[in-house]
Amino acid sequence: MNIFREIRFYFKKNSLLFFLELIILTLFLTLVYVFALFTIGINEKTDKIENIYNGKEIYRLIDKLEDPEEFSDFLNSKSSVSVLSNFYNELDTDKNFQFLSVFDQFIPIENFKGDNTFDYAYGEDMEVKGKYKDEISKKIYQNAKSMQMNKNSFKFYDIELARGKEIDWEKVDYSTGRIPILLGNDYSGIYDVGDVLIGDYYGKDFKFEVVGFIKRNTYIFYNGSSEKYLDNYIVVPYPLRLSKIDNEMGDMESEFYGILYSAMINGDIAIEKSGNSLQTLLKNLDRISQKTSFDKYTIIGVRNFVVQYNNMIAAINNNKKIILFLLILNLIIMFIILKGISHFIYSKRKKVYYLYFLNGCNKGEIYKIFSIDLILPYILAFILNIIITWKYKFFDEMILIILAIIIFLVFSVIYRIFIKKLHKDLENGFR
Amino acid sequence: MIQLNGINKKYILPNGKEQIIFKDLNFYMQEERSLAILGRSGSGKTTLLNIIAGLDIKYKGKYYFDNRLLPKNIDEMSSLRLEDIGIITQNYNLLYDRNIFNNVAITLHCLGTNKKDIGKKVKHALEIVGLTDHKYKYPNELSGGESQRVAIARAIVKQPRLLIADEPTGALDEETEKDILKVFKNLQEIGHKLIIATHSRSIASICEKEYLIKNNDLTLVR
Repeated sequence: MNIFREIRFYFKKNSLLFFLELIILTLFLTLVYVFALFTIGINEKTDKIENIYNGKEIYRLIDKLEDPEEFSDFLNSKSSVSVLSNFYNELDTDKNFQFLSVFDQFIPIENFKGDNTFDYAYGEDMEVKGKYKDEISKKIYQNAKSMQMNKNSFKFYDIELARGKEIDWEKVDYSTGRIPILLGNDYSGIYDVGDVLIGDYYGKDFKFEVVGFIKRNTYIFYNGSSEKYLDNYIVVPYPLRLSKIDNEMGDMESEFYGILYSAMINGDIAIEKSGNSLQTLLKNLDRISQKTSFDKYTIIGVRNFVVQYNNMIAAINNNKKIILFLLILNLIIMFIILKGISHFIYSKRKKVYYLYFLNGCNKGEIYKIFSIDLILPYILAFILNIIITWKYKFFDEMILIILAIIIFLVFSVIYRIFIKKLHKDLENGFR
Repeated sequence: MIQLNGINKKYILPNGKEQIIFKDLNFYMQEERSLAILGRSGSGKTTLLNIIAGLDIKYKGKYYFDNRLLPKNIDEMSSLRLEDIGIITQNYNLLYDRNIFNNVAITLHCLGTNKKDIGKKVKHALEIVGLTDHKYKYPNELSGGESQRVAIARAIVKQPRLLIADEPTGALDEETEKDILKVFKNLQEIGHKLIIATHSRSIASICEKEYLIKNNDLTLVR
């Protein structure tokens, strides 16, 4: 028997019902998919927040070089910049806390291939947007969003790669003029591993070599934002250790390191929570300050947003219950509708099964036609769901497996109902 | 060819009571080319045909086909229909999603006949019933008589040894009945064996023997 010919006849007379069934199934699967994504997202966030902040206090260290003149004088003094390097190295290696140095200085990139969503000014009220010509170098630049981070921050925020290789921190050496970088996931298809971007980093030309891509939806806590997503960012690693400024070093070079070091000493400090964690931190900072002779810093508490975030998650968890209830309700309604449609289609197709039976087809062949009639919209709805999730970039294998199980279960129940009916009809000779 | 021994058949009515249809019914068809089964509505004509066709296996008694005792198994009986029996149903049972050619060919699809042979056999069957020009029409374009001819073509296309027809002219007017009568005469002439359940005297008259179902049993009338 040619099954495909029967499918053709099936579509001819039942296309409207078929598409109705397909739409209902696809909508339901998409709804389940979004719910699963939402749940996984919330669980991941909750876990991440707990992992990061459970038993920890977060403070922010900021420099007090606010006065432009004072800052300029500081940068012009090579010994002062060296003091900064010592101060940073001590902060970064201290065993009593974790120093998380993160800064979002944009980087003008030559012949940038990305669209405006990667632009630092995208969605902001800024004058320079998109590509522009640098009046001095005459080169065409675009200011790409960038996040500079130290190794502690990478570990602390558990930044994982989608592909490529991890940063080899020992080899991050700005003096070579070449820095390995990671790209946010939105850069996939625009740049590839091994590509080299040329850009201006604090007034100095650098070659940025792409070594990997960060997993989609990776975010960090930055500057009061509880979810700073890195999907459209260039992530630049800070050097592992900062070198002192040599007296032989040119002024331009010295100024570059001055700006870089002063950016690097601004960061968050994570410390084990205790009754006197602030006192302990201040004591340790004071010790470092005395050792390095740098005291132009201050400490502020930044826990508020974490508390807000936890409150928000509690509210979302409550909403999750409501959504789960609606989802189950939706499943029941969908099941009733599907059963109704299947019943209608069965009534219309019964004559076909009967005629095959009447003319001598065995049970197995009739079950085969019936099964294909029934399973087609389920298979197509599942494929459509894969296409939709793929196209809109929220594809997740684990959720698809869950969806496959759900759709299989729904199909199994419907199939069981109607195969019993068909069996009964065959036993009774369709009378 | 066909031998039914001691057939007992009953139905359970919706009110829970039993209705006996056959009580120790015996039926034989050996050399006869055609038999008519007569009887009042509800006497069991269709039930008897369903048993012979293997569509009803819920009965007591024995059924021999070519001296072989048939098991009461759906697939075994399907196999019997596939190879030896063609069925002409009461209400034509045509499929409206396909043309006449494909309606007739459905029988050959069950047999797994190749495409080329399907074309030849369907053409031949349609010639016998006089519908050669209608093969690309759809059932909704046909009259009652034409629809019945398609049902006959569907039953004969695989050239079965036995044709079973249940009230083949029940829904037709007198003139159309005459046309169908000619078709049945022609089928007998070209060698088909026929069992026809009918109300119609004229249809019964073309058969070699007539049986009457009465009081849950079968009686030879002619």
